[in-house]
Amino acid sequence: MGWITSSWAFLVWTWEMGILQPIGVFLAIMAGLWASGRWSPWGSMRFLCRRLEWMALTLLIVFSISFFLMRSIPGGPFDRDKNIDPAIKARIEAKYGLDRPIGEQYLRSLADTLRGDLGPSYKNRDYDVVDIIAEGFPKSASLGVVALIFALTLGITAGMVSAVRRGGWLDTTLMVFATIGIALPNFVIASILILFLVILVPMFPAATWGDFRHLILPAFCLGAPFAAYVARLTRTGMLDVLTQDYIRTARAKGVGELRVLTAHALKGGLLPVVSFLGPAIAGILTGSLVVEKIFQIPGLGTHFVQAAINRDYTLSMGCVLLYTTLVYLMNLLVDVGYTVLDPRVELD
Amino acid sequence: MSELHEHALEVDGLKVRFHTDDGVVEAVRGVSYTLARGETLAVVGESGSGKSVLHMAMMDLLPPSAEVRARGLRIAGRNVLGMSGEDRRRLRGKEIAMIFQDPMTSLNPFTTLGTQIAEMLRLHRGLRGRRLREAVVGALDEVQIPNAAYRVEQYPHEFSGGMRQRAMIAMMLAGQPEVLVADEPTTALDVTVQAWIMELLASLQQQRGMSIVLITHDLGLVAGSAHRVAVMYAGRIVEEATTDALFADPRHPYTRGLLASVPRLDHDGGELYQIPGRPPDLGNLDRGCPFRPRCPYAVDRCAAEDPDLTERAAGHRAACWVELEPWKPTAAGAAR
Amino acid sequence: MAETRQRSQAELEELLEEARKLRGNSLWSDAMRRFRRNRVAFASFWFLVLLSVVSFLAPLLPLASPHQPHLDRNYAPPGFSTEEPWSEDQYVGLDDMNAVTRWMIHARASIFGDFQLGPWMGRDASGRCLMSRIVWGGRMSLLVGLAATLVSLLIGVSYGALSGYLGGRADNLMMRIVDMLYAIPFIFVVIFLITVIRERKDVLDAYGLDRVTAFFIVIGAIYWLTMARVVRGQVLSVKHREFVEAAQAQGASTFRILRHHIVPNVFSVVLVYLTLTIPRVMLFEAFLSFLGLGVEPPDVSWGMLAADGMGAINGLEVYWWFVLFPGLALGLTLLALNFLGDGLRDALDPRLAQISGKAPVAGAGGIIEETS
Repeated sequence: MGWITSSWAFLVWTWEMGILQPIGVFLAIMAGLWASGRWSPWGSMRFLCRRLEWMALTLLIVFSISFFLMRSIPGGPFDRDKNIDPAIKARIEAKYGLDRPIGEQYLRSLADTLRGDLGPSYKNRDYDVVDIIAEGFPKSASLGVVALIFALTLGITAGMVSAVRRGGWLDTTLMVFATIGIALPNFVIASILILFLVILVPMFPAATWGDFRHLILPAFCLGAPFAAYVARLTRTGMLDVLTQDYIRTARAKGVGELRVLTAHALKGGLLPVVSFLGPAIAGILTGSLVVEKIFQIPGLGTHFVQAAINRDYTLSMGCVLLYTTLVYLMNLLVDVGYTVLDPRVELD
Repeated sequence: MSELHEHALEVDGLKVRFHTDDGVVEAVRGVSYTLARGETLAVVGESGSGKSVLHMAMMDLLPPSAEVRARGLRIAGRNVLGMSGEDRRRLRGKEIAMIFQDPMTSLNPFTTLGTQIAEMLRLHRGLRGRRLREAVVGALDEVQIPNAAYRVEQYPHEFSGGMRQRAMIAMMLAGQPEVLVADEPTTALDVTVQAWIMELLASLQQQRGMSIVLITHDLGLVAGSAHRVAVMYAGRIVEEATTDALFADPRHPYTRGLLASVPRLDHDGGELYQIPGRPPDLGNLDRGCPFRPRCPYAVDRCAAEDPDLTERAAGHRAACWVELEPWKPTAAGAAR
Repeated sequence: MAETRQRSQAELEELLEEARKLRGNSLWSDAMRRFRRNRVAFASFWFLVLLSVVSFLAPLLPLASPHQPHLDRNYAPPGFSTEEPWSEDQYVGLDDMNAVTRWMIHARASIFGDFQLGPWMGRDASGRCLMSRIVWGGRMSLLVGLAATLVSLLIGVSYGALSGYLGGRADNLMMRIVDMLYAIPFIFVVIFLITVIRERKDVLDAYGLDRVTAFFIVIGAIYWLTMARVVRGQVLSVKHREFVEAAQAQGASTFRILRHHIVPNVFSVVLVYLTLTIPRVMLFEAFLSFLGLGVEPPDVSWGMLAADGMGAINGLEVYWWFVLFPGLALGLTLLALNFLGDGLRDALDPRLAQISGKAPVAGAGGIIEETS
């Protein structure tokens, strides 16, 4: 019966951590594609299995490296509490199993993690790592999603306009902005925007977390570099596609210019953007570390940075494992999405 | 369709120049011809002779760097000169359609063939819903693609080369155009498939009474399928005649060279003739006949003036200063 | 290969001659000409040269010490007044600095005495001269950018070249490993690593490394993946070109082929990618320092200054200079590096430039009517 309870605990944990939700969305999209006959799960089963194996292997490696690095630090995690009674300290260490041999500790810790128990935070022993993550992740996720939507809409529009008006002043202006967007770190953009839009002209609320209005500025700062990349990729992608023979065919058919762009060129022109989505999602997760700090959003990024500064190893390991899982799943989704968009590509 | 016009296509003095970084390239240097309704005209020439550019210019498919000039251009009886870009777009697919050399790259790889054909039917025949779907399947049936109802759901990469070109033909004919420009329609295909495609085009022409411009460099293809032939060299037509007349008695040295370089079953032995030299650089042509450096018959006048087309026999025109002796079609005879 | 062996000696000589030309002067002078025509890239290049010289000579310049606080004048706006004269003991950690830096500070003392340029960019929260801090910060940011990029170059080029040159199974395996590493969100792992490294000063000392060195080794070690892929792709494409096969057929040694044929051809691609990696690495350094996980006091870096500026933003008082100048320094440098990289790419690989400049097919519209 033990395995039922532990699997249930694992399910609850993944739900609370917000891992299960993206998987749910993923499965729903796949089911929809299957129902519409555009994708078959049997053909890509081997692919999915292999990717999940790689993911498990990567997570194991990340976990092991983190674990041994953590344990290699001289002294136990509770040494920094200076005036602690040695007897109490011994009891605490016994409670966390720190008095056992390192191999046993590793296996126990691995088993705990697999069950979804990341243990208590080293810094705030009253809180479980899982609870802290479950509390912070939804905020980071909504920030990230808004930033991504913003990056895609702005970037694709700018890229298309630039491609259509290639060589013109609008193209030049947009591409100069794109280069600036790529070059400037988001904290520089953020500080300048805060200076102007919050302090000098108070259009937006100052930092912290609240309703949607609090999301706009951080999401813009987080998404801006990616909007710039997407604009560039869309432009080169569109220009490349517009020289293809099949675009000439579409024009020979008497299709109007706008429809040539949207119905014929767009799909091929956006393929580079789709393959950029994987790195973009990883980058937005990373960027949210800084943006959350600037705008004082109590999300996962803030917790992670705090954990790193405070040397709260259990919490930072939990975050690293979660981020790795997320990036892997998103890349998987992007790869599957690519094959749906380009019928010539098969999953392998 | 009104029956007022007798010509499907009339071109008069069409010129195309490209403005490039390396200067002006004159790709087409004044071409005039007429195409009767139901007729097939073959336009023959080496690559770079301007035969594709000429027809793309007629259809307004060239990039903005191209400058197109003409004294006159009528497509299906309608005067194209002075038409807006939007009006010319409406002609494309409806009155004049074009099929391209490589059906692999010329079909949109991201959408099903059905969708691509349906676009044409919606655009030019206003079909919607169930009738549209039936018409799409009907169009594939017409070009003898087996299992059409199933294949409309497939993507171009799931078709073989010959099938793709058939689908391309089905798509381009879906708007029931008066003129079909076939730009090297069989070059990218196997020899056996080539004959098949040409047969299909011929039978569709008979059914519909449309006119065809067959752009090719393959004289073998011309002999079997065209009524008339126009030979292009360096952006101009150098000889124009009915197919029989051209093959029996070519009047231009370039045409003779082309014919001599075709392998023939009835003349074995001897080496195949090859026209010496290279096609001229269209970026800087001098005053004389552009074929002069490669021509075994060249005289002094050829260096001074570029000859115009002149009537040599009824319906047989050639642009050459030299009146050639009657043609003896042997490999050796071509050289002299 | 069989064909190659049958080729005559003369043909081989001809091919080798062609190879020599390919990497010879014409390629580079063409590239230089194209590069010079790109004014933005050319200006960026000189800006960066100037910046590097100023940064390198920072200790020699008549600037205030970046460490000297003036608590009575914190957040002073840009101005000229300098009341407290400069002296050598205003530097924190002078003994830990390297010999060149220390020598430059001594030299400065004998050239300029206690003269110092005023706080033209204002003062920070503890009254330190912001201009001096920005120049010293640039020194650190550029150093980390260059050093970490060199580390990534070393790893990436050797890995990629080896993988491409070996080919077959080994290549397959090596690229699989790169693929797997790509999927790891390294930044999080690196942050974790850095927190641990900062704790283990004893280990670093054992290897004779200081924390900054360890810092850029860690950064460099994660930015080599793309470089490895790029180099491998180039090696594979060069490997099968005729002149390399010709050299092989002539019996040139592996090392010779690598040195004389593959390396020169791969070099231009590496150079372009290098200029594009430096800004990424600098961005990452700024990012870490901004979070308080990068360069540590008494060292200064632009990311740290930006974080300081950010921390000083509040609703009551606007210290615009404190936000603007570090951001501007970092922004302009990164922008210049990006322009330089793009310019070099266009100059060295004109094919790429042509693709983006090529006009796509479009209905031009009118035919010009001719009479006569």
